[in-house]
Amino acid sequence: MKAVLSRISAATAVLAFVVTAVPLSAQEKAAAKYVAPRTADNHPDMQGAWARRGVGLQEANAPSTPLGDFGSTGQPYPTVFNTGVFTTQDRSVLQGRPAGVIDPADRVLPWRPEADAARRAFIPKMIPPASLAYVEKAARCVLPGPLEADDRHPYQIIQRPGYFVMMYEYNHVTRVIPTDGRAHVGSNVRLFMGDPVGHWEGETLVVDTTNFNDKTSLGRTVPYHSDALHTVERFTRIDPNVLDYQITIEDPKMFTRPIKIAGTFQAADPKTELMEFACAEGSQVLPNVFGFELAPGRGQASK
Amino acid sequence: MKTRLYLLVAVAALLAFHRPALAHHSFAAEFDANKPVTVNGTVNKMDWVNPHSWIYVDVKGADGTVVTWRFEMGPPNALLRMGWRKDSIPPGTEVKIEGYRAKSGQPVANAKTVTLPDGRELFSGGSTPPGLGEAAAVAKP
Amino acid sequence: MTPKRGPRFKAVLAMFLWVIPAVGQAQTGNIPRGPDGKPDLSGVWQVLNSAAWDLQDHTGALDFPPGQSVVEGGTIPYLPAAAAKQRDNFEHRETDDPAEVTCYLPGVPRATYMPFPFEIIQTPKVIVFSYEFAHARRHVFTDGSPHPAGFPDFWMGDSRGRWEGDTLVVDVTNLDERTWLDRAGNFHSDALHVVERYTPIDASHVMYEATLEDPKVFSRPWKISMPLYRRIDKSVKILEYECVYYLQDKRYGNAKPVGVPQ
Repeated sequence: MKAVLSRISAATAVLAFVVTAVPLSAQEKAAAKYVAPRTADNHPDMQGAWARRGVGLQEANAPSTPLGDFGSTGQPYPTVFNTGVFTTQDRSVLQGRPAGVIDPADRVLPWRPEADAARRAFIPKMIPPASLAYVEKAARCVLPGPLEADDRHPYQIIQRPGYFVMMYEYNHVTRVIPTDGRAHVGSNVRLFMGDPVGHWEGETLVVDTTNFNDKTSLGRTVPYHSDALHTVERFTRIDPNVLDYQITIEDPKMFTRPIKIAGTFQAADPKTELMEFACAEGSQVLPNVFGFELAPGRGQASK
Repeated sequence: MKTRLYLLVAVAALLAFHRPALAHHSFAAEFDANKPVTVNGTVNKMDWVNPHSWIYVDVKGADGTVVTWRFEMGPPNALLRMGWRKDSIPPGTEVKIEGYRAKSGQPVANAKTVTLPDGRELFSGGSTPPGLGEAAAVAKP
Repeated sequence: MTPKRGPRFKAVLAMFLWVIPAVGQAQTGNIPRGPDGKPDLSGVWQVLNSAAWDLQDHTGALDFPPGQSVVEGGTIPYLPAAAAKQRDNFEHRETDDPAEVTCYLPGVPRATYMPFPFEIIQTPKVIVFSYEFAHARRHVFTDGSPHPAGFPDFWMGDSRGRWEGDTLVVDVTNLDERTWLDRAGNFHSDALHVVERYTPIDASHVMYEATLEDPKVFSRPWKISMPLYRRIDKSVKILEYECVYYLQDKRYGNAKPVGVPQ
């Protein structure tokens, strides 16, 4: 009897050891709050190559647009056009996360009635474009503004003391964001990408961007915005492979209140090198639409 | 190497379900989805130009005249990351291309599929560049 | 010092010896350095010459500032056929300049001496050059990686860098043949190979040199050099010169679409 009991207790002890030695589940790991490594100047390190996901201005009850998506033309969009940027294996931290417009939750955008009417009149004139003003901004290969970069191309973040630099492979866009909370440039300097100023709030980089011009688009159903546009972005590294990203968009001439969008930056292959993406140089959109070349004279050499 | 390429395809398949909020240009402004075209011809040259690769194909008509068609493809960076290189499709290669004709009426089109002589499709998830051998073989997603 | 000197002499000598190192430091010291001891080139830089108009000696004209050649030896050593092409380019520069007229990315080394500032953002593995003109950008990879084989040409080429003492040496290949070297139609082929050298002189000056080699166009390699000046203006930053947008407005602003079924 004693021998049996001692064996049972021994077995229980072993069992107890085995149970307590079982590793934490993914959820339990995530619940133990992740803290990003530090840069030399002791700020959260978000450097690396990333794929941006989920950032877009989806709209419920949007007007139909002849632009549509590539898929709507019947042409398949081959997966390789996603540029081979690949993200991490462990995606558990992404489970249950919202993406896209999260406020308003029903995605009925808070239009000012006159602005809504104006864009509803504008959109049908985009295909075929009634004039250059109606050509979709993305087709012109100009700086994309706060939302419309092509996420089939990777991003790279590098940090230096006092600066957080976001490089887009798409159209070689570079945002050099000072992180000392300095003043914005003067109000008569207007920029496609706006003037960004950042500051750290603990684990989060908050970027306030003003001084936008009115020459970019916010999406296929919001083909333009006003120069009153103002954005606030928040970057937080929540995982070795994920940056939480939020952008709040405010344009009091278009909308009655701000719109909040949630997305992520997901780690791409660490060996990813951003390549040149010279959008304008290779684009034939405007010559095809208008029937003559951008170069004014004898014509450029074609390769 | 093999594992990485399988992962690449798996993720590419996942990415296929992610519709980017926008593509960088409007297909509809330039090309006509109601004007599909298929050509068989030989590759004249391939331009690796951002934002698109272009492939020039010599197509022989019934009367023997040759028309050089120009097909717009996707960004070369995508091809480069998948392992394709500048000389992966040499001039003289026979190809079949299906696409959508330009609204201008020129022999210009947007390529939907580019099929090589052995049946591989250039831009589909299952295609591999020549010369990488067995290690590069990937399953269709 | 064997002869006996008086205390006054020694005092003056001491002061002199104290001053000389300070002067020396102003010339070669105060170069910002990273934690690895290498010079840190980060900051906003710009040239102060008219090489953008013409790399060689050029006389002033309306809207055309004069300048002395930045080419070592004075003239660019063209092969005879190439020299004829350059003259043709020059005659048609008002329509044919790929950067100034068509807003294409300017290539290397032209991007360095465009009349616009550029920013260098230096990290251990990559040094980023962000140019205000057309937001051109290039990455100089300093991680020991080679130029990738079988890649196509890029407007800004492929750049791989290494340090030789305090000099950043950048090897540039894969340069698109369509760029020009200046507004005067100086040009190159797809065989162009550029080696740049960035050598800090002091905290606010870098000597920039570039050796160009292109056996299809030039009879031998040749070199340009010029100082880069740090932009020390308060809150200086790279703004936007969105050349493409301005040009599209000019060319297509009053045009009507064609080829569209009515």
